[in-house]
Amino acid sequence: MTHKKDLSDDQLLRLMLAGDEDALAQLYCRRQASVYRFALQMSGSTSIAEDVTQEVFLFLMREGNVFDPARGSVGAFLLGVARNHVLRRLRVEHLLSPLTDDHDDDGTVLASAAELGVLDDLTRAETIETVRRAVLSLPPKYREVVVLCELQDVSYVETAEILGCAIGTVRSRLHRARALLLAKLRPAEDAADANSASVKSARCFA
Amino acid sequence: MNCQRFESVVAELARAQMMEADVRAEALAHSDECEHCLARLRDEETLTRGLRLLAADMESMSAPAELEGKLLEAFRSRSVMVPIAAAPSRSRYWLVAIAAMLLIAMSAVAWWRSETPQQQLAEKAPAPKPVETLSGPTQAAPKDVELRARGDNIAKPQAPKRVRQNPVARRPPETQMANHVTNEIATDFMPLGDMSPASLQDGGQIVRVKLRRSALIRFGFPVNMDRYNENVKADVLVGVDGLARAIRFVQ
Repeated sequence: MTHKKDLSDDQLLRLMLAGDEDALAQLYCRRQASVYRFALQMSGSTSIAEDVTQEVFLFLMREGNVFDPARGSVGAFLLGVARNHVLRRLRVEHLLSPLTDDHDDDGTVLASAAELGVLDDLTRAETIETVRRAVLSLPPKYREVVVLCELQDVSYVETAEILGCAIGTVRSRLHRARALLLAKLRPAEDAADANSASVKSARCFA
Repeated sequence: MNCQRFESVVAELARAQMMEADVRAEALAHSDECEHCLARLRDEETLTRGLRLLAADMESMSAPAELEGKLLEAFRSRSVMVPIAAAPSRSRYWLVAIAAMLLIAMSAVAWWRSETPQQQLAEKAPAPKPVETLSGPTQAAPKDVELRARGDNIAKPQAPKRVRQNPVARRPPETQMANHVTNEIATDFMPLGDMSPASLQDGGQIVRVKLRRSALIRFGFPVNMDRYNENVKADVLVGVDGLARAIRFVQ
């Protein structure tokens, strides 16, 4: 199995489809974490993330031959499959929480950095938890670009491949998503002013 | 750089993404001059920091170890199942082929059965004359038919033959009539003058006529002027008073 570490994802996939178990193990070892994290960051549920990871690799075993290297990498393909499964699960479990600009789901807000770094006063754990909740409260189409571009550090090009849209769409959605996140993380008293500012900018670039 | 242009690059600036050095320098210079844009930059940087903290916190997360075992087990069972699954797919082709052959055979038998009585009846179609000959000995009949008729008289009773022969004798005209009706295309009846349903209560009659093609113009139908003088068929609905009530054109 050692020599398989040198093989590309495409080669491993082909070997796996030919019945090579080691190739599957290697491919799983290489890609499971990003798939799992994507599902977890999108859903906020470890059980959904586990199920989605399993379904993604089962799909790869069954229908891995639909992968077309000309259309993107294996990693992007797996994340695309994971995205479909996550959205389906969220739809089924009614976990989609629509966001309105003047509504905060969890009631938690972060201080604006403009207020001289109140964020820095928060503990690291609090910051992470607050940002996590803010990300989860985004509408799915904005959440997925934040998860991919910001949390998974996927390039715009690959994100566009995963989402099946243009790079420009990814950019504009990310811009809008960041504006929404900022609006959610502002203190309540500044919310009105800040929201109007973020909405203005969002209208320009969404 | 103005504020609008700054807004378009502020996220990239805060995320420290690759961007043109000139644009970056201009944006930073603008943020030094504009307080609003500086605040925007700080907001974006703070957000980026928060997102990176979250990403770093989740960096070590991965699927539970037992999941790999389950998947490998599923892969093994799938590998074992492949030949088993392949066999039915081949046999399925055979099943489909056999089913298709059976269907063809059954169709052929059904067709043969439906054809055979017709052939038998068709062969017997000339028989009415001999049968009538039997009932009326004064009429002349071909010798071979007479002989066959005599033989039949001995072997079988005549009555069933008559029953089977009569429908055959009637069938061709019926078929012709049906074909004649179904092959025609007709317009709806168009009233001539003030036709009311009450005027047809006493009955009426449909009369097939031939009209000049030019008559079509009166009813708003397009007419090919090259065939202006040709005739067209029409059905005229004539009331009991002898007046034409409606007309339809037939093709």
